[in-house]
Amino acid sequence: MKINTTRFGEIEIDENLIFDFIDPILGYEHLPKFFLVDYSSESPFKWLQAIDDPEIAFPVTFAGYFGLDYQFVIPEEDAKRLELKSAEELLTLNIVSIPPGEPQKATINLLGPLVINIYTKKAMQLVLVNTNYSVKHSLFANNKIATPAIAEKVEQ
Amino acid sequence: MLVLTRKTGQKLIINDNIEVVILETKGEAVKIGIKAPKDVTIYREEIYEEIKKANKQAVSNSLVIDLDKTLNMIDVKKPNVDNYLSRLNSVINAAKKDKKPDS
Repeated sequence: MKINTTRFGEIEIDENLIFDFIDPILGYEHLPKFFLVDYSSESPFKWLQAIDDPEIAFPVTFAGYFGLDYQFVIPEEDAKRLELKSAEELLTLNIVSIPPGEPQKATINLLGPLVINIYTKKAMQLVLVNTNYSVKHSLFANNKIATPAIAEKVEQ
Repeated sequence: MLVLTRKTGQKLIINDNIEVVILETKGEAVKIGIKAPKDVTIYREEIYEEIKKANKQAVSNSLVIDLDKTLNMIDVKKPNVDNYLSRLNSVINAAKKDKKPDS
């Protein structure tokens, strides 16, 4: 299947890798379907491209790439709706914001992780509660450990 | 918008299955209790807005060129990167074959 994108032109996508946001990425309620684009395979940054809007794509990454100690609980009801049965089905991505021309000021959103069930392809943006995680955690300011939250494990 | 006045202890019922009660008022602060089904999400509005704003900023900021520059600049822990990249690749490959990856 081919889709148009502003950043990558027309790209061929594997329909098996289309994620369906059953709870939307906040602010993007009209765009439930996203595709994970691996533009630079060497890079820790990937892209979540909206299927239905060529202009909308989020740079995403794993907190673990940057040595961040990041853990959270997925509320039971959300885990059920995602049909999550074990931690190995879960893919967590965090949206990254990179000010133009100032990549050293890049920040990662730890408060609103994107949680994806890689088998059912269901996804949502979780809003974490009872944590000190920041919406704009600096990626390159030498603070390797994200402010720790209350004891967290993915619900089994 | 529906505007009501309630006293401490009084409740509102929304949709037959959501209950809002005023628990306490202290100066300018109001303590509110909410009973709702598990699939109803309830957020403090400022957190919701903060995430929405961060999402929008991420989209408008994003240029592919900057990301590649970023990668060259940073001291990323190489072993971590390799681990996650290989996990991501095995996830993608498994999804393509429509079967579970080996654990």
